Amino acid sequence: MAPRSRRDFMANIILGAGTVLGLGSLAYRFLEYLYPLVPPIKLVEVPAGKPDDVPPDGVRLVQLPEGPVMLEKSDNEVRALSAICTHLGCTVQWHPEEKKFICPCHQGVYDFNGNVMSGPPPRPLEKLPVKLRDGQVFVLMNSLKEEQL
Amino acid sequence: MVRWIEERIPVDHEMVRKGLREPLPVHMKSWIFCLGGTPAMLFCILAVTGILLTFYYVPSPAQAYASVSNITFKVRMGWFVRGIHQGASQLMIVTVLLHMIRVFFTRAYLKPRELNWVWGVALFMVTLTFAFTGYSLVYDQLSYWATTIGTNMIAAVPLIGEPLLYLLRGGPNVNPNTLSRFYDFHIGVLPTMMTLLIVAHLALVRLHGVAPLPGDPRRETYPFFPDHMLREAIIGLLLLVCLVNYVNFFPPTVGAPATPGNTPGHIRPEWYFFPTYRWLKLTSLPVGIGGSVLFVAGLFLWPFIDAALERIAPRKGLWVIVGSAFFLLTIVFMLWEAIAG
Repeated sequence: MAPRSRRDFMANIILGAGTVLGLGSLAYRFLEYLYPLVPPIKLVEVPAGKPDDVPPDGVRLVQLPEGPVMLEKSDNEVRALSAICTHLGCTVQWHPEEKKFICPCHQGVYDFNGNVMSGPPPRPLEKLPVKLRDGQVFVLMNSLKEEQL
Repeated sequence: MVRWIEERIPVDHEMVRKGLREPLPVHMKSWIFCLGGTPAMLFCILAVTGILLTFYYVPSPAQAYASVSNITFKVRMGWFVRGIHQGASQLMIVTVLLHMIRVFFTRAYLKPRELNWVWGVALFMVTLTFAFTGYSLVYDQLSYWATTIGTNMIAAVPLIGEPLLYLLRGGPNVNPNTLSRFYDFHIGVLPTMMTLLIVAHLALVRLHGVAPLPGDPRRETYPFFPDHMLREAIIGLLLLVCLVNYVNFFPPTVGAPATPGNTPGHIRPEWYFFPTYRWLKLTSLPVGIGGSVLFVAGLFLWPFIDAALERIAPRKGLWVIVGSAFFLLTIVFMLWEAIAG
């Protein structure tokens, strides 16, 4: 190979670096384009029915626009648990005869209070704040309304 | 006319003849060594039927399910096209797996062919991603919950998990953007990746030549064209016959429509994800995800792991013990999920 001059060497370095930077910044812009706008988390009060709809010492699954929720009644007090399994996001099911929530996907088992009894879930079911107003149960949840772009 | 074409497309006939008559070692006459070409043929069938499906499929959550039902039950021969597409995708996974098992047990990945094993594993991963994104598009209960679980698994990967999840879903939750992104992957990104990888895979096979069979003293060869090509053509025709009959006897169906917030009682992914599914049931989330990532990394790096095992204990056959153990474990997990799942 013919010996290269210092000028050639510098020209190659500049050309190479320019190409890498140019293509890199182009790729970064494309990635920016693909990355969705993530709205800030906003808490909303979602109506979830009447307290009497929940059986005493029982559980009722309600499908709310912000996600599925388990309303449970204990000592005449209504509580809310997110019905989303903390393992990989399936909806847990209430088994009244065993008094357990069981996830149909990977068999995670939770007790009446949402604590993990067995299986792979890493944390208890999320407890959601509840308000009673005008004879109606309201659950405080993260808004799911996203900008669809 | 021929001369007119030859002047404008100056192909070196000698080079083409030499390329087509590439000498292959005689062990390639055995049918199990013809499995490499099968996934490529199935990919062609999938491309044709996939393009046909896009004529009726609508990639929006409101219409996806209805359009798949329309293809399956109303469009003339829609059931046939969808059935061939679905059957070919299953067969593709089977044939890629069989080809990988053959390459593994004949150690065709040894130096200097390590990179071709790596391309091959990449092709297997692309094939699985194809299947995953494919059944996500149906937008029935299995689709929806497979998308939810699959993308949540990605979120559990440390550091890059969450940004990757947003990128794949097009938002923090499974939303209308998710379906259109999966559709883009299925009909654009993945076919491009697969085509490039097949070209790279075949180029390396041609550059290195076919790997010798360990312990086979024969030195005779036979030409790629027409002898080997004929065998591949017979396999291709047999595949078509099997696929058409399969679709006639087991026409495709559609499950219940996707209902976000309501996971059905007995949900399971397709059979090829059974081992991962069972593994995730048995372990905590970090171990489940970490183990899966390590398994895939081990699969990619297998030729280098084999070389390291050979350095540790030369000629003890550690490669076959370790490899067979993982292979058997995968089969056990798959059967376990199939029977007890």
